[in-house]
Formats: sequence, structure tokens, C-alpha cells
Amino acid sequence: MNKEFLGEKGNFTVMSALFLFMFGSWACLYLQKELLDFARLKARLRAFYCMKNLNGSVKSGVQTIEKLNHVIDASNAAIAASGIAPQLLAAAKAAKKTAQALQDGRHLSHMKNLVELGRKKCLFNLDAYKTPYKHKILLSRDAFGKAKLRKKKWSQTSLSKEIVLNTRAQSIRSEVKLESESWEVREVLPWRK
Amino acid sequence: MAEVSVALFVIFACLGAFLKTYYALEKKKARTLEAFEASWKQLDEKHGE
Repeated sequence: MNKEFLGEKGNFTVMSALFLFMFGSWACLYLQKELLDFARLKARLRAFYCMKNLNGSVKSGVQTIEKLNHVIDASNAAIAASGIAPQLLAAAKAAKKTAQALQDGRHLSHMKNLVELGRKKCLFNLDAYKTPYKHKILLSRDAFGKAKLRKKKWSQTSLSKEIVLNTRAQSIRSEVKLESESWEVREVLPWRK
Repeated sequence: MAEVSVALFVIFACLGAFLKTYYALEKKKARTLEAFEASWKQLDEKHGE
């Protein structure tokens, strides 16, 4: 070791280097933690966004399709009554076809929304992709031409690395009741802490 | 004297770089939250809630 290194200036240089090393290490660790927190925040926000978007789309979709099912019911009644009033027949048939086309349109718009959510890295359970209605691209229909719900109750889940959001949905007449709950992945999977 | 000045300069430069990165990250966080709030409101309007 030379004299300069052990001298006052050298001492200051060594102390500065030590300080820089310690501060640099702390700063790197701190910024890394902040970046990780930010990534977690983004994953969490995305999960909430995906769930809200899906819930909104399903709720308004089911409400619209169920209301149009009532229109189809009314049209069927009018078609049945056309024996008494034949002038009703054409209008009733047209109303039924329009209602069915509107239902298919609303269903396709929901499917499109699901594709867009997939592009935004939203991940759902299989039930969410199957949609509440039976379909083969266009909606499957019963003997009266009405869209068929798979079940009166179903659940849809938004999955992410940080949080799992589950919504239980129930169709009551034309209304949809939604109940949501969430789990922190790190609470369920302790090794992810 | 020159060595002391250089050491101080390096220390303050590092401190500055750290603070700049930290505040950039905070700004990004705030922007992300703002965008999330906006998209939340947009969804409320879209689905009529």
C-alpha cells in the first residue's frame, strides 16, 4: 500500500467508494422491489379491469337477450293468434326474426369483447369463454325460437399472477345478480410470497 | 482536493440518478392508476352502471 492510499485523501476516496458501493447496492435492491411492486399493481389492476368488463358485458348481454326472449314469446302468441287475425302473421314473423337477429348481434358483440379482452392479456375460466348461452357461433334456440341459457347460475373467474377474482352470476327473469369475491394468490399459494 | 471533488461529484450524480429513476417510476405508477380510473369510468358508462 502506498502512502497516498493511506493518507487523508486516500482515506476519503476509500470511504467514498465504500459509500457508493453500499448506496448503489441499496438503491438497486430498492428500485428492484419498487419495479416488482409496480408489476404486481399492474397485474392486479388488469384483473379488476378484466372482471368488470366481463361482468358488465355478461350482465347487459343477458338482460338484452332475455328481454328479446319476451318479444319472441309475444311474437309466438301473435303468430298463434293469426288464425283469428291473419293480418298479424307477417308482422309477428318479422318481429320474431328481428328479435332473433338482435339477440345474435348482441351475442356476437359479447364474443368480440371476449376476443378483445384476450388481446389485453385477460385470462378467464372456461365457463366465461363458453358464455351463458348455448351457441354454435350463432345462438342455439329452443322449440319456440328463444335463446337458451346453459344454466340459471354460473361463475366466471378472472385469473392473474397476483389475484383471482370470482363472480357468481344468477339469472332471475330478465335480471342478472352478480356476487364477486377475490383471493390473493400469495395467500393461497404460500411459496409465492 | 481534486479527488475529493470527484468523489463528491460521483456521489451526488449517483444520488441524482437514483432520485430521477425513483420519481419516474412514481410518475408511471400515478399515470397507470389514472388510466385505470378512466377505463373504470368508461366501463361504467358502457355498461350503464
